[in-house]
Amino acid sequence: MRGILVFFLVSVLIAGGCKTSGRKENSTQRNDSLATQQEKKFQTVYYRFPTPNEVFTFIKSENLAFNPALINPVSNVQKYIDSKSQTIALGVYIADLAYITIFESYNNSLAYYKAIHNLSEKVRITSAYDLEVAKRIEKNLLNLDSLKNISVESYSSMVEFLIMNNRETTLALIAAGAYAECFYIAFNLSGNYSSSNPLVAKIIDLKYAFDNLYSYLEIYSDNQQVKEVAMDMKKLKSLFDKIKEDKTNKTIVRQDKNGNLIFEGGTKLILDEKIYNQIRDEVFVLRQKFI
Amino acid sequence: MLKKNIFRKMEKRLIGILFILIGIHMMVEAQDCYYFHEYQCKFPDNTYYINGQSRSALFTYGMTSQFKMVTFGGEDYHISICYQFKIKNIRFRLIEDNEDKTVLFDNAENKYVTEVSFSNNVARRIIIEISVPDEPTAKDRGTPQCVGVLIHSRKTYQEPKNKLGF
Repeated sequence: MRGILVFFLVSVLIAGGCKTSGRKENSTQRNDSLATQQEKKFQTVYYRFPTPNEVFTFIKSENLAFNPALINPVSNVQKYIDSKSQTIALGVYIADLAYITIFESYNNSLAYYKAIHNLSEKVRITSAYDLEVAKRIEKNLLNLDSLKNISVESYSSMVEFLIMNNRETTLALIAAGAYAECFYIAFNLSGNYSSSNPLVAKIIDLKYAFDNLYSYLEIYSDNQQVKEVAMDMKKLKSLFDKIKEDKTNKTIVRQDKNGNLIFEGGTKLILDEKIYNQIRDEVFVLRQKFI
Repeated sequence: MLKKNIFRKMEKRLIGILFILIGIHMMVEAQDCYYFHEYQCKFPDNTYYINGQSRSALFTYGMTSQFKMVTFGGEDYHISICYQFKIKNIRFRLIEDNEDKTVLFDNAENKYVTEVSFSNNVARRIIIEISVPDEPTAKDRGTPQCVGVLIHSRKTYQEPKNKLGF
């Protein structure tokens, strides 16, 4: 038995070694293909967008309270059967956990963490949302600050995992679900349009984040599921595009006394009540579709 | 009997060594630029939070690459770059992603520093552009190497209004 094990291990190692030496022999070919890949990379513009945690940190203010009615109930997890709905729902629950942690509702965190863990296993992302952490939340071994850190680190770890494993299409679907949920919560928190409402101004600022997300979806829309989600979000994109841009002020860069740069002026976004309501209604339709 | 025991011990050691070698082999295979920015780039002070738009990528000499990020109004940002290249004149620019493509920062005009902090008063789309100069004589010319961009952010500190007494 041991002999077989040793034989197996030696074979694995030799096979690995052969693979490596094979690579060395074909180094020119490999460099060529790498050069081609990098040329492609140079031609491609990469789009990044803030995480759900960053979105909620941005919109949070002292007078906004956590509202449990806004998050997607964890009981819905069983509803998501196919991989597309599971992946989108994973994004929705990640946004919910971000809302829970940023708005400091500790009691809800465990159930949502577990829901994310379940769905991430179903879509084969096992490393990021660890069940050990869920056990620590259960035993009240984590305070809110560490919970916030875990929420940020888990998301970041998941993104790295998906990028490194060429699964950006999965990331696109997760991000779409997450942003639909972020917008849904943000519009509910802001209520009716008022030009003096600071949250309305912040929602306008999310336009650029949405633009980058949409461009990201378009890049990966050769994947059928991503294509379908991009189609679902197309109307929302056209509504965001209706937000007017006041370009009269040019961007100015100045330095403060500590040498830090200050970027001032530049394009100002203007959102009227009609467009605000149309975007909000479309967000609600989209969210309903996703959950 | 003694000979058999020695042989068994050697066999156990061999299995252990083989497991370690396979582990190392798998780790080297999987390395790539995974989390390079978090391990290698400079962190600002702890008033900042790491921003999820940070990333690492493989570069070669003579290569330029860009990615588009989003900044919010009323927030401060700290961006640092790090790289495996031995040369020091790797250029990074922050360009506003508007019609004018306004250059907001260029480290070539600042002794090729690897970090910059800025405050931002309105939401902007910013292009981060990294350029590695061509070095025809570099020994490691054919080897792609990691470049990381680490982004941190925090809310801009506002002086409290009407502050009197304690």
